[in-house]
Amino acid sequence: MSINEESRLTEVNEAMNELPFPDSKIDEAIMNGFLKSKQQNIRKRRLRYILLSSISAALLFIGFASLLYASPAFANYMAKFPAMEGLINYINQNKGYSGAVDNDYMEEIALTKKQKGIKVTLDSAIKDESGMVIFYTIESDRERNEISADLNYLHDGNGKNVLMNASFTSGSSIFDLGKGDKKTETWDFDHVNLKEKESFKISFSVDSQDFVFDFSLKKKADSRKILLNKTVSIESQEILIKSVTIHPLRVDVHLIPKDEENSKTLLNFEDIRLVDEKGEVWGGIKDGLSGSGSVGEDRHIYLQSNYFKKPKELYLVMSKIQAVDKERDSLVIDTKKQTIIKAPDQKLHSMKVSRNSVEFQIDSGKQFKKYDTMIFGTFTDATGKEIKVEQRMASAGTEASMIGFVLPPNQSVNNPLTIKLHAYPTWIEEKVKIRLK
Amino acid sequence: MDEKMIKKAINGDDKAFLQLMDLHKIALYKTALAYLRNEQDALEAIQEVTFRAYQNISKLREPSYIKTWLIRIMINYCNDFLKRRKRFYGDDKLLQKQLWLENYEHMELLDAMKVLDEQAKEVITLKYFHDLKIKEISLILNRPEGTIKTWLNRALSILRDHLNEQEVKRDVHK
Repeated sequence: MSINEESRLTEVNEAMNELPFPDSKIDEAIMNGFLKSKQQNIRKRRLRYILLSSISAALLFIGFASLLYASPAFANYMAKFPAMEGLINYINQNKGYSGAVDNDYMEEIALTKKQKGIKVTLDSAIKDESGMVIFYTIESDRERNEISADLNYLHDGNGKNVLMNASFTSGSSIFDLGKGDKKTETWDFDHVNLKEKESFKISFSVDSQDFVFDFSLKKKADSRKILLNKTVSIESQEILIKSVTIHPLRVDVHLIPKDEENSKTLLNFEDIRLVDEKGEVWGGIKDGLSGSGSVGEDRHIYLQSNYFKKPKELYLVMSKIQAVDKERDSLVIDTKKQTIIKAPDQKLHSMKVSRNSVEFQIDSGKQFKKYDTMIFGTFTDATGKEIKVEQRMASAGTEASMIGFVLPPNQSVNNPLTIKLHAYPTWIEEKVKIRLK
Repeated sequence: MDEKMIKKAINGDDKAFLQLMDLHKIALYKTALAYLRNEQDALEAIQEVTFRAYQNISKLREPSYIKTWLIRIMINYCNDFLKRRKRFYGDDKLLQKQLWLENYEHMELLDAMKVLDEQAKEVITLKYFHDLKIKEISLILNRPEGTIKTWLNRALSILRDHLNEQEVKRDVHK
C-alpha cells in the first residue's frame, strides 16, 4: 500500500467533518465556560480591591518605618529575621503589634517546614487573655493561583482544641502567589483566654498541603478592664458602653445598642478610636479580627492596643455609625419576579437573577467599599426557613458597585426572601467622647 | 462574522463573544477531538477554552486572527491536558479503545500523530484540519514561512516513517 500522508491527512479531515457533532452539548459547554468566566471576573475584581488596600498599607508603612527602626528593641528583633518584609509590614500597620515588639512581648517561633514546593515559616506570635496572633510566611517554588490557607485545628499542650468559643481569621481568603514570592499572613484568634497556656500545636493547610507545628510561648500579661456601664447617644440613638478592656493584642470595646428604644438599627461602627492627652490615636484593626457580634447582639469592637503606652489620660471617641430605619433594616426580594419588595432606600437597585446568582447595584461611594461583602446577613425564606447562601460577591467599581450572592443549587426557595442587612451606606453622625482614664 | 462584531467582543460585549464562540465551535470541537479522542474530554476542553478566551480576549490585537487565536488556545489546553493525563495514567492505552473513525487507516494516522512533538502536531493540525495556508501559519506563529515549511516537512516525514513501520509490523503479523 502506498502511503501518501498528505492525502491521508486530508481524508481524515473530511472524515472528521462528517462526524455527527453533539451540538447541544457543545453549546452547553460554551455556556458553562462563559458563566464560570463571569463569576471569576467578579472575584478577580474583588481581589484587585484587596490588593489595592495592601498597597495603601505599604504606603502607610513608609511613614512609620523611621519611627520603628529607631527603636532598639525593634531593630534587635528584626535582625533575627532577615528579609522579613511581610512581617515588618504587618507589625507596622498595628500599634498594638509594634508595641509588643518594642516591649519584647512578641515571641519568636521561627519554625520552617517545606512540602511539595511550599515553604511555610511560623515566624512569631503574641498571646494574651483575649487570644493569640500567629504570624506566618508562605513561599512557593512556582506560580500558584487562587490558593488558600485553611485552619485545621489549634490544640493546647494537653491536646485539647482551644477553639471552643473562639473565632479566627486568616487575613486573606484566596490569593495568588508567584514563584519566589513571600506572603506573610496571620492566624488571629479571639474570645479565648490563653494567658496560662504555654504549649500549642497548630495545623493548617496551604494549597491543600497540611502543615503542623508545635511551639511554645512563655510571656504573660494581665489585661486591664475598665468598667463603664455608660449610655451615650448619637443622633438620639442610644448605645450602652459596657466596658473597655486593654489587652496587649487589642482593645476590646464592649457595647450594646439599645435596639428596643432606638428608632434605627445600628450596623457598623465606622469611626471609633482611643485618644490620649497628646492627641495620639489608636484606631480600628485593618488586618485580622476587627470585632465580633452583629445586629441584635452584644458588640465587641477591637481597636489597636496601647497596652504598653500607659498614657496619663485616655478617651474613647466615636462619631459615625452605619444605621438604617428599624422597620426597613432588612432587604425583602422576590427571586422569581426579580423584584425588590423592601429596602432601606433607593441606593440598592437593579436586581438581576441568573441561575442561582442574584445581583444588585449599590450606590455606595468609595469609603463604603470595604463593607460591600458584609451587606447581606442572614437569609430566611417565606416559610421562615434559614437559607445558607453559597457565596457573597462584590465588585470594586468606582461609583456604583455590584454586590450579590449565590443561592444553594438544587434547593427550592419560597419567595419572598428576607435578608438581614449587616452593612449599609447610610449613617448617623455625632461626636461623642468618654473619659476612660 | 464581520470585524465590527469581533471588535465588540474584544471590548467586552458578551453577546458578540457568544456569537463568536458559536461560529467557531465546530473548529474547536474538531481540534479537541483530534487531540483528546473522546467526546467527554473534548466537551470539557470547550468549556475551559471558552473560559480562557473570555478572560483573555481583550488582549487580542488583530481581529482577523480570531479563529486561529481560539484554536491555539485549544491546542495549548490539549497539550497540557495530555501531559497531565500521562502523568496520572502513564501511557494512554486505556483511551485508544475509544475509536470514533470507521476507517482503520484514518485511525492509524491519528494514532501516529501522537508520536509528533507539540510543535509538529500544531502545524499539522492548522494546515490539514483547519485548511490554513503556510503564509497564515507563519503569521500566527510569528515565524518565517521557510521555518514553517521545514517544520511541516519534518512532521510529515516523521508521520511517514511511523506509518511505514506500522505497515511492516502489520505485514509481519499476517
